[in-house]
Amino acid sequence: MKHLIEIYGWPLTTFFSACVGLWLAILIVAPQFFMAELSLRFEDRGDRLTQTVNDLDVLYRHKGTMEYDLEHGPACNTMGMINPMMTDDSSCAQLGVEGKLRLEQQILETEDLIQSLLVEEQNLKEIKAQQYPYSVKNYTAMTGLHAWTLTKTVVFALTVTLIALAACYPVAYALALRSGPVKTAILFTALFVPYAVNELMRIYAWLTVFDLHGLLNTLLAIVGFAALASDEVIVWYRFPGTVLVVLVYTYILFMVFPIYNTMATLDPNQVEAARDLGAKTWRIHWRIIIPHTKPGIAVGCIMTFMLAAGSFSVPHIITRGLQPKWFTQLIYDKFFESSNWNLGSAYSFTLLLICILFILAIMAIFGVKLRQLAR
Amino acid sequence: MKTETMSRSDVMLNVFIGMFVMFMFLPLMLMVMAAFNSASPPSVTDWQELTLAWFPRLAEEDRLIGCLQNSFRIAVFVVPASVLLGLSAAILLTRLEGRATNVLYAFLISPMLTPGIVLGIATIVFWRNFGVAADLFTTILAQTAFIASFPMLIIMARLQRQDRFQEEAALDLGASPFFLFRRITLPFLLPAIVSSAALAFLMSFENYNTTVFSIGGSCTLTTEIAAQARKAHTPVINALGVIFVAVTLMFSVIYTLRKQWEK
Amino acid sequence: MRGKEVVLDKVSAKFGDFTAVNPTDLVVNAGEFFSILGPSGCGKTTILRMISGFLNPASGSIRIGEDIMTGVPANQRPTALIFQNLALFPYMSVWENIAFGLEARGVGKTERRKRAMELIELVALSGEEMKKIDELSGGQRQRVAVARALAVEPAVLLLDEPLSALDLKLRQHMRAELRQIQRMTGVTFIYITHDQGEALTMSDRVAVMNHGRIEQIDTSDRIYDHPSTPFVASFVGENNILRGRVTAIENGIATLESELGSLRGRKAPELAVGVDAMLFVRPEVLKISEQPQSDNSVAVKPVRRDMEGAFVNWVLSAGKRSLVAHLTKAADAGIDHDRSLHIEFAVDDAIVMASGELADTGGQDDEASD
Repeated sequence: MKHLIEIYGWPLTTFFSACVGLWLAILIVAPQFFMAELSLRFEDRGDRLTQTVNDLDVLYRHKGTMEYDLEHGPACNTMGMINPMMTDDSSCAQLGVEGKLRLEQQILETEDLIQSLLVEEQNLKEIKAQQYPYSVKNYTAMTGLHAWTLTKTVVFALTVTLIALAACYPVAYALALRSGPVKTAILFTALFVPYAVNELMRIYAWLTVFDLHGLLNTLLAIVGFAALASDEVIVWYRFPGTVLVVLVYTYILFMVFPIYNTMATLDPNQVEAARDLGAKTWRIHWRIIIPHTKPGIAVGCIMTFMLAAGSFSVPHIITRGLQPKWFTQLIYDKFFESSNWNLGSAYSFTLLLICILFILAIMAIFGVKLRQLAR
Repeated sequence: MKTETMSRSDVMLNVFIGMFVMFMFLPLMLMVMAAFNSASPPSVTDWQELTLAWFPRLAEEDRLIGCLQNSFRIAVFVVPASVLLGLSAAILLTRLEGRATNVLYAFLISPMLTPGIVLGIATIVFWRNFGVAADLFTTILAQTAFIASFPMLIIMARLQRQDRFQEEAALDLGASPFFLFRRITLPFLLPAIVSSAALAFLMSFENYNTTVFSIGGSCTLTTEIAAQARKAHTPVINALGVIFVAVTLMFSVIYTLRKQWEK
Repeated sequence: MRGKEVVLDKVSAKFGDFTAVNPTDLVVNAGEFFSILGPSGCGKTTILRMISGFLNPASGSIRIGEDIMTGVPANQRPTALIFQNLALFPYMSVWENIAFGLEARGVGKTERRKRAMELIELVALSGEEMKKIDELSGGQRQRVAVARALAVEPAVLLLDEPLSALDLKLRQHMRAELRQIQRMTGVTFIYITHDQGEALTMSDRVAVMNHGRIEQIDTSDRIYDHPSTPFVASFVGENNILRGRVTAIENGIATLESELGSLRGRKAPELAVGVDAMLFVRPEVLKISEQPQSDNSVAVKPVRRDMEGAFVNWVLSAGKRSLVAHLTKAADAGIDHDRSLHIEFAVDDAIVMASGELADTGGQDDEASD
């Protein structure tokens, strides 16, 4: 600290410390703490407070939608919006002056309702604070189905990580140690493009493959195993394998680049020297390249696992409602469908704990310290 | 004999790389091709007519455009906030010593290693206590929480390469701390700041998992794409995909060429 | 003369439990070229950093001119430091580098530029002012660093081995140039080096440091001819060292009963009869002959003769000892290898000191290797 003040002076040092303090306290620690705290309060469903909170949520959303409509005109395309008010008739018409006025009036009424409910919520909360002490019931109350979903998610994430590692090590090796500068540049760009294209677009692209009349079924039809015209086709979205394939596709490049980055810092002369001393290829990998690349492999595994286990986008888009829900989808439902935030927090915290355990395990396996994880 | 076996394993390696790149590009190519096919739902196998008609349709998607504007609104706050927080943390971490910095470091990179949805959830849970409902504001905070770690790492890497006598020399010549920071430290860090700002923008703009859990009833481009992609399969989204791929391709080629040229 | 004196009053420095500088008194006169010479790790850089304000003394105080520097931060001291790696600012041109200190003081651009151009002329860099630092040669960078430091009109210029990165020829040239700039400006120079050649050629006075302690402060000549400790004698220049016991002291002459017999030399202050002592005699004062003229001599066998140009180096063995003599060409001419030889030296040319720590000169030890 003294050194810092000597160079940057009091005002700047205070400013930097304040920024970091805010980040740490308000953006990182406090939210996680409150989530953990919430997860430790078991909420009895169906009581008045829950009902009030649910109503409030609905009203807030309702109000938001109306305000949006007022500003932009009502949306014809309601797809994907959780919007209870859009079921009524006039949703697609242009708003007239009259319509606008009506909407404004509705907004004001909704606001009144919200205000009164807020007062009630406050009262109920005070009562409840004494009523619900801390308990681990949110964690122990997980149903068998949800526990199975969690297990499946973890197993899938582990599988994705292993497949990615097996596929990416040779790719990184080729990129870092077996190519000239031009080849490296071309390969790098070729891999960087799919890495940088929007995650959702990459997931979405797979629909063309898995659709009822998509690439896979068309190929099957050509061979004679399916008939497109009569819809005798395989509904690929029903198979969990599709989620696995797309998870691998979406997050595999998070394995390539960390490994490549560390491997590229290896002096090629070390490999040459080992070969010159008569080491076989596998021994060169085992004794020279892998030990050097450990931190990159660790980062790749951690990132891939974390992204796969925590992925909401892939199951959300790929399952199309035709498969049992993914763990992240369960969490989403707890928050935005059934509004049981306490249980949702417990699920979310469980996911976080699993990722932390995985990180600790990887650090132990590879003997890597936290500082080495950052490139 | 030695070179012969080596070249054989090289050939195998090359074949594997070729397949890998194919795997990475094939779905994207299918998506791009389907965008120019008049068939709906988009298809590459049921080829009807070559068309550009899906692109103008994007302009008619008012909701999509509104969501796109939200994406920019969020990025406008997330980018400067992340760079500022990352810069501050990088300076503290490189200038301070001792065990405490290791703990601080662990805390500050933890959001990077946390599933995005957990960050989104924690943020809305926290702010609900203050009566703040999930909206663009909570998304900005949730995104900043983890995006700031990337500028921190990029700027730290550069700071560690700084000749520490530079700053002492400036002080010795009578520079005040502010002047030193503006004239010596910032110019040195500028390339790292620019690239971390670009990265922060990309990460904010493209983020989905954190955003969808923290944005409440509002939308961004990505939440809107996801919502539409889940419910339907329409070539309009393919057209949007073409734009994403084209812009990404353009930037990576420019970036690579510039890097090659600088060498 | 605008240089100021620098006074260290019982200044010490500590890093944790390690004492880098023992309590030290030191007076550097105004306008003096003063060098601090010592091996790496002796504490010389620490002293420099305390004077420049980057390090607070653990005890004692530093005065520059009339002002006590305690509590004065580095950017408000009348000192300018030239760093070992120069620490030039790579994003600025030559003249911007030089004018940086003025810019920091809020001097306007026209005035800055005018001052910078004067200094550019002083250090003979005219025409280079718009160049970037990485377009300059090593010697030119050196000059920019000097000009940049002088631009803030310091009373004291502190130099931390600034020549160490240059090759030999350039280094010798820059020595002369630094000396000249110091004379022209009258600024007090405090020069840190482990290179005795630099210290001896440039300085008005030299302090020799070891283990955080100043062993001797004197002019270059006195340091060379009258070292006050075994460390100084062995660190500065070459010396033949013989160990033994003092058997007699008479009229400032000490007699040492050494492994090579009884030898005499000037007595160092505070030397007493009966103590373990060392006799130092420089290679260039040794004479080689078949018949010694005095009894202050040792019988030797030639091991090697190296022709070095102006000098001829003889390596000789006496018992298990190995001795070195530098002879002029003339003195070398009459020596016959195959005869038995003697070395001898005038009593006044050798010095006898109580035993103490010697400098680690890397392999040039006093035991014969065979």
